[in-house]
Amino acid sequence: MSKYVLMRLLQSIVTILLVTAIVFVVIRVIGDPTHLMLPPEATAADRELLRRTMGLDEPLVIQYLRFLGDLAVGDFGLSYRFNQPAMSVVLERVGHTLVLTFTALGIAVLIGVPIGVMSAVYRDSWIDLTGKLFAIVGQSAPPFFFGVLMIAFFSVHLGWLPTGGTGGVQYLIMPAIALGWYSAAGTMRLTRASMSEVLEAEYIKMAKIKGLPQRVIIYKHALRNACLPVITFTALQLGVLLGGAVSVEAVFAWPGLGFLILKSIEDLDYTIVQAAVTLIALSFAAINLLVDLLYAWIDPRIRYD
Amino acid sequence: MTNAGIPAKSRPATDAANAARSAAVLMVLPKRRRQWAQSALVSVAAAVLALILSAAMFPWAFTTYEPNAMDLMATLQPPSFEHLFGTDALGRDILCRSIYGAQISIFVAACAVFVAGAVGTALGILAAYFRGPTDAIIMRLADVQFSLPAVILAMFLVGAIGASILNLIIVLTLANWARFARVIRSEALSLRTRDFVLLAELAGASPLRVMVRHIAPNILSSLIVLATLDVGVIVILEATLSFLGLGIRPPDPSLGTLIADGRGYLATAWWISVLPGLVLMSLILACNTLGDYLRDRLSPTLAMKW
Amino acid sequence: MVTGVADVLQVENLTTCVATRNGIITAVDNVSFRLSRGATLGLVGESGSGKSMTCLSIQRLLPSNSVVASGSIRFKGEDLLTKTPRQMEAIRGREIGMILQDPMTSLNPVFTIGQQVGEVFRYHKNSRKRDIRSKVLEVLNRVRIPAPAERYHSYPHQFSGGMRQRVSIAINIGNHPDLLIADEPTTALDVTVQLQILHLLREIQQESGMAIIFVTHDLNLVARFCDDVAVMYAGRIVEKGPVKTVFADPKHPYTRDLLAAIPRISKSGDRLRPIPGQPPVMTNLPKGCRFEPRCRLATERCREAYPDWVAQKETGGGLRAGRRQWGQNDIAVHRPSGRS
Repeated sequence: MSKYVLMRLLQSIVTILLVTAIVFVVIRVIGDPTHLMLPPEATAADRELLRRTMGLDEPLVIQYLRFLGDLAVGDFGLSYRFNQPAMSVVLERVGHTLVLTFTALGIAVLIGVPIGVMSAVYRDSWIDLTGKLFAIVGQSAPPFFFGVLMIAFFSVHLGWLPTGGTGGVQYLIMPAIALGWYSAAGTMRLTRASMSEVLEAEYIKMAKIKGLPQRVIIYKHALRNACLPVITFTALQLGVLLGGAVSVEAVFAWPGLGFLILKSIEDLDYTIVQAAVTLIALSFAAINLLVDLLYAWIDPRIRYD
Repeated sequence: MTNAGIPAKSRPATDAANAARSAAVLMVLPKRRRQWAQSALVSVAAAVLALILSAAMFPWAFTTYEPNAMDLMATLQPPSFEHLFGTDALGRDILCRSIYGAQISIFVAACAVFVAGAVGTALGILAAYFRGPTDAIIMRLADVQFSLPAVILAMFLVGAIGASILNLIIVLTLANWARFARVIRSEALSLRTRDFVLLAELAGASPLRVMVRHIAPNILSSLIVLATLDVGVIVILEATLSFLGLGIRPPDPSLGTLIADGRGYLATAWWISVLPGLVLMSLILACNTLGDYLRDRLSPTLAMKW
Repeated sequence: MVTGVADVLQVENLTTCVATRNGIITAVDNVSFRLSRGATLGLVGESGSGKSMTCLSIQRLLPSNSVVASGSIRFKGEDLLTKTPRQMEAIRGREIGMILQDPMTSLNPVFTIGQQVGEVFRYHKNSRKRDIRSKVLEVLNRVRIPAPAERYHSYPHQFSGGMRQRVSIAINIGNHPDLLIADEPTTALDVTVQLQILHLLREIQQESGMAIIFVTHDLNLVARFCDDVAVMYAGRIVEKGPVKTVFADPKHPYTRDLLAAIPRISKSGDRLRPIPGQPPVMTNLPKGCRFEPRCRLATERCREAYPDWVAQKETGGGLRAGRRQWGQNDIAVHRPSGRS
């Protein structure tokens, strides 16, 4: 068990190092930050001076190591647009994005898992067919377009909900549904597939032979086994949701991380992009690690190997 | 049943069997219903895809307008016989722009899927064949791609290298190859231990020959399924980037930019956003449905790996 | 034949149909047998002959594409086919147990042995919560699992195949059932473990007096462990009766061929004689006798119609049935038991 945890930890660290290296290289090599920091009328000498003070004339490896050192203490430099440390700007926005993504994830799981289970248990019934239709349409609607559709109908046409911004729950409803719908469809399909497979297993037959009530068989014996792939999928959905959040935040003017990255790319504010992307990659590696550990907790076969 | 050789007493059994048959027929009906629904869906999807593809390939056969031709006398016209999808604030025909937008979206997605599929497959087979450090390096690189949401990775890269059609294809490839690499690697790993591969190696076939002649052909069906399913994903990704202003740049139409254009007119001219969006949805719907169908037919085990 | 009160199970004219992709097949065709308390019936046949479907019909656990079309299954005098699903839940695991073929897959990988055995007490509501643990340990002890208290918290994957099958048995005998269906319980196990498991079953049977249906394709095991035997072919029982009688004097050509195909150490000089051909495809059964294409005694008329069943003699509650040879009219034709 501990060997397994150690292996996974090591893999995560390697991945994070690679991500930071790639982020670093892309930003330093392709975009010269001095172009953004100096006014256009600055001379080549001014630029050279700035490069030297920033340490940009040193070998890339040294620069990367210094970057890693700064990263360890969360220092990504100043955002020229906000005139604040980039990390603090990013952290201010993280909360909004987390609220949005986790609400969406909640919607995905709360809709996807029960319908998936019902579809598998009552195969080929009307609930299964409806669920399938729902899943197909859901997986074909890009979140941003679904958001536009909802604004057109619920805000503009009916005037029920605000078109964007933040505030009470009414501001969260549409963005969360627009974002969660896509994942709900995937969760539903995977739950159905996984559950159908498990329901065919011999140990489910054995559970029936034992005379257990149907709900115990479905929710205890089958779901516990069927939830393994669903958990991985759900965790991976966090990534899809975080990505989808960019466009949904843009549609609903939701002041989250995605919106911030978008604006920073447009304004060439690379310290913020760097901080945000690194933060996302870090949390991702952490999530993946947690999922694997959760897996080991649920499935004893992994735990004891 | 008129054969004199059959004694009368065997009749109850026959009746019982007949009763059972009719009972069993009733049980299969839901399954038939599902199969019917499935095949109807697949036919519709194929028809929709064929329509969109032919419109994208031969736009002149479907529209008489030019995508960027403005008509200031006919701005913000609702859908009519003259303009089936209506016009935008500059009097451009939305149907025409949707068709040209679909053309670009499909072209970009097809190129990106092709390159990502080729790169991912090659790396997946290499990783499975050589194992050890090669495998470790390729799989950690795949982890890197997986550790960033595709949209954010793509945004980041577009921000760095700038928006153009070529760059878009490169970025979409970089944001999608790992999916292929992972699945193909696991397929190739199991093929690697199969007898015909071992025999080929014993017979002295070079690694390249084993990979190209013995492993690659056997993962083809998985690859086709993966690629078909990936088209939908890439089309969404491209539309998202374009919607955010990081993909196809105006005035060139793309389905994503068309939806973005109409956002300011949702109250007065809903068709500018909604109709191109429905075209986009139909395109994705058709690709996903066909991909599912192919997966069910060619490679059912892929469902769980995907 | 007299319906003895001692009969635990009476299956009459059981017919079960399965809807498949290629059409509807009659997997169990007019099957009848009875089983008395403490007796063991060997149900023999090739794979696909309907043995397992018969057992699942008794348990009312047929897959969703199958249905019992007709017949009756009387268990302790009551017809199981008229029970509600709720009533069946109460019967399964308490009055009827069933052991499955592959112990590697029949236990749930994510629950401990203790949890899985304990469930049969917990959900049949015949034990108090705090008694469950001791009952589990007791039954684990009964199936000879060493150090049950230590094994209580183990997971199935930590057990060998033989041990898992013991756990399976523990699950199914925990509530002292009247009938235990053992569906090829030892096919997936090593030969030495096989005999241990079968001896264990017999020991438990002698203690508790439960009846056993032992499904197998191994006639050697039938000879050693069963009282009666029923031979199935393509969904039908072709011959049944006490093991000794049937094995000494098989009447149906299929039974004869099966017995001739057993390797016997004592008669080392004999050549084994495999049965030629394959069992019929169930969607495309021969019009006449189902065994006709492989039968060495088949005649033209067998191709047209199934030869009459004949009652040879009745012994100890089991009916011997053989097949009349066409043209041999010296054997009296009777209605076979269970069709009346």
